[in-house]
This record gives sequence, C-alpha cells and structure tokens, in this order.
Amino acid sequence: MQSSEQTLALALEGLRRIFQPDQAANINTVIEFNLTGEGGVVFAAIIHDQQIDFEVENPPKAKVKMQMPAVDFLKMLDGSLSTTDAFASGKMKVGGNLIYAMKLATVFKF
Amino acid sequence: MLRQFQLGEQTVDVLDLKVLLVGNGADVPDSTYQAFGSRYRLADPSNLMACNCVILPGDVAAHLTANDESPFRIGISANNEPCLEYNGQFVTEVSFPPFTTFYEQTTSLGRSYGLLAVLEGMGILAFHYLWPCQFARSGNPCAFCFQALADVAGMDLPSPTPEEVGEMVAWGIQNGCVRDVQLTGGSRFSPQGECPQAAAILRGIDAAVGIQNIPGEIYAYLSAPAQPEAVDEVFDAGADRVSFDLDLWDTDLHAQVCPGHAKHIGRERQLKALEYVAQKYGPNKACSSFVVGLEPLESLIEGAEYLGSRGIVPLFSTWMPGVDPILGLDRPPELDYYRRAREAFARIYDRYQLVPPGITAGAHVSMCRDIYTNLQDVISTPESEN
Repeated sequence: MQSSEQTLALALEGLRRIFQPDQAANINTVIEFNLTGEGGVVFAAIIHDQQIDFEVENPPKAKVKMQMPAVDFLKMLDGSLSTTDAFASGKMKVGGNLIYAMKLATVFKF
Repeated sequence: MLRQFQLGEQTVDVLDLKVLLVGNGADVPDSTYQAFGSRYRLADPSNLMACNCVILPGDVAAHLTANDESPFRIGISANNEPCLEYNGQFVTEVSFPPFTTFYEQTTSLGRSYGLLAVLEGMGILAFHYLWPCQFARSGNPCAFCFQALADVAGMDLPSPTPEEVGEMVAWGIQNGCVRDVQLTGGSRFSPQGECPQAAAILRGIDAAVGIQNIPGEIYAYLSAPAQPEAVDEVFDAGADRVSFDLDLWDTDLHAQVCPGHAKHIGRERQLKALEYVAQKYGPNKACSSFVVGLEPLESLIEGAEYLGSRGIVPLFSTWMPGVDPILGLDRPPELDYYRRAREAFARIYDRYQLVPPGITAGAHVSMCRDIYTNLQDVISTPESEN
C-alpha cells in the first residue's frame, strides 16, 4: 500500500520532470491536483516565470483543478497510461477554467 | 426582430449572447449536470474532451466551455428547466440537444465514438481529427486552433478509418442524432491537399449507409490542392460542398496567425481552388471560413465580399480566445464589431443568394446558419443608410 507521502514525492518529482518551461511563457497560475483513493493527497502546482513550485500546506486558489485516482496519475507520469486514455475513460476530471486547462495541457509533457 | 435579453444594464440579442458565450464559456455546476445529463445531450463538463452546447431561444446553438470564472452560469430555473444566468441574475431558459447514447458507442475496432468525432448543434456529426495536423507537428500551428494544442501537448489522438466513419454516420442516422456530416481537415500540405483521403472517407460512408441517405449535407474542410482538379474526386465521391478556409483576409495578419498555412498553402492556392469549384460546380458549392474577431472589420468584409461575388460562401466562425494573446488580443472585440460583421455577411448572403452549408440550426462557434436563418432580422437597416 502506498502512503500519501510516497504519492506526493513521486508526483512532485514527476511533474518537475515533465514540466516544459518553453511552453509556459505566458502562464502565471495555480493548478490544484486532487489525487484520490489509496495514497491520495492534495497539493497545488504554482507556475510562474516559466518555473514550477508546489504548495501542500496552504495551497492558493487554483484556476484549474484536476481530480484523478492517485494510482492512475502515477501511471500517467511513468507513461503507462496515456493522457488520451485518461480523458476518454473519465479517470481524469478537470474543473475551474477549462479554457485555461486546454493550454495547461501543453505545459506538461506526459 | 431578434429576441432581446438583459445582461445587467446592457441589452443584447440572441446572436450577441452566442458571441459572449463562445468568448467566455459558462460555469456549469455539477448540480446542473446531475439534473440534466440524463435528459439531454450534456456530457460531464469535467471531461476536457466534452463538446457541449447550449440551445438558446430561437434554436441558436452556442459552444459551452466550462469556466467557473465566467459571468455566465447554466443553472436551474424555477420551472426546473436549464437556464442561463448572468452575474447571478436569470437571463432566459435554455435547452440542450436531445439525449443520445452516441458517446457510449464504440467502433468495430473498439474505439470510443467520443474519441473520433463530436456531435454539434442539433444534428451535425463532425469528424474533427481525421489526420494529424502537419502545421502543428512542424511547429507552426494556427494560433486560434484548440485542436493543435492536443498535438503540442503530445496527445496521440486517434484518427478514424473510413470504415469507422461509415459506422458512426450509419449509427447516427439510424438513431436520429445526425443530419449533416462535416469532415474537418485543412491540416496537411501535400500537393494533392487532402482530396484522396477525403474521397476515401466519403466512400466509407457510402458503403455503410449510402451517401444519398444522409438527411442533410456532407461538407469537407480541406487544404486546397496544388492542382484544383484534384477536388473533383471529392465531389465524385459524394461531397455536397467543400471549404478551403482563408481564416483571415489580411495576408500579413494571416501569416502571423497561421504561419504554417501561409508558408505551405497560401492564399493564392486557396483562391484558385475556390474559384475552380465555384466555376465548375456553381455557386454555393465552395465555402471558406473566416475566424471573426482577429482582423479589422474592413479587411474581413472585403474578403467576404470578394468571395461572395464569385458564388463562394464566406463562413462566419466566431473566435474563441484561449490563453495566449493573438495579434496582441486576449479577448474578443466589442459586440458592435460582431453586429457589424454579421450584418455585412447577411447582406452578402442576400445579395448573392448564398446559402451556408447544413440543414440544421447551426454549429457551436460558426454563426453562418444563425445569420442565414435570421437574415432579415440581422439586416437591420436599409443598405442606403449605412
């Protein structure tokens, strides 16, 4: 069984790895990740000045919210679940401003 | 007269509302989806691939992007019907297209219909990703294109085979949710354009359902071939119309917004193909879409007039802003721009007896059918007074 701490460490490491600074030139925003189920955890990614930081304790208000089972999110990060399949299967749910969410999809190279 | 609505102190008509909804999206709370998702064609708005629309009074379909920062909200009226609200104030009751299980179906290859096509408005089946966009993959996507974002993001969207297209069209007709079929290409720059591929898809539809059994029309948005005669194959295979989109009439602005298209296709090739179709097949058989909101009104109208006077239907596609500014713009022009643009298009349709494609109410961001079906209301003043 995976703990929330393990999920968080893998998620942050993975998101840093697939972050594409060149695609984030005009983006200053906050994304909430709500990873549910076993090993679930909530955190925010803060994108600013073509960098990515994370906040777990006191996440600021998010412009885009993503909810997904933790186990599937980690599969996306390791490449064993495609983003297309994640969307099509309904495993990934997105809230907030979906106009922005479409652009944010380009900021991470899943 | 177009029906009027009150947004705070501003009075708008139903076509204004469509422009504003396309530009802003609307908050679609989960309570709305829970109340109406099983009664109407309303996909879970938390699915980034959902292609929803709202039906405004007068059968005007407007694209619905979920956006909880929008001043618009799709709520539930006192009559338990869906309604549009603006800054918390009731505007009007609205509707959605009839419920369908289209998106629950899979093709014979086991692929979800929803990955391969979308339903628009009251009966348009649009195949939005027939093949990968070469402009996006060469690093030069059109700036306004949301589909290109999927390519940039590295999403490997599947493209349907001709047989799968045929299966989906057949299912849609048999189940009453498809009247018009739209093949959306316009994203390859080979010398033959996309004509052989489009013709193969049309033959797939014919084999599955019989082209003559399409209740409405089949139209194909394609890149112009280098030799215009290549498009004959598309008409021979059953297309009612083709569209070679110019997107912007001002060539300098076009090159900035659509760098790949300007470099590999260009206006001359598009115009040559459009005029070939208009001369060989007659008026109303060639169309070309403009992304309305990105260029000065004068050049937009000049382009629409140029086409219209040659029997080519100029199509009116409302610009849907994304995150990155385009030509320095991060929001649509004021409503007055759109009112003047739609009136100009209406006059051109009227003057040259042009009919935009389709038999349904209209598509999600395209306003040509809305303009056409409300032609006299949109032409609000005698031309001599302008």
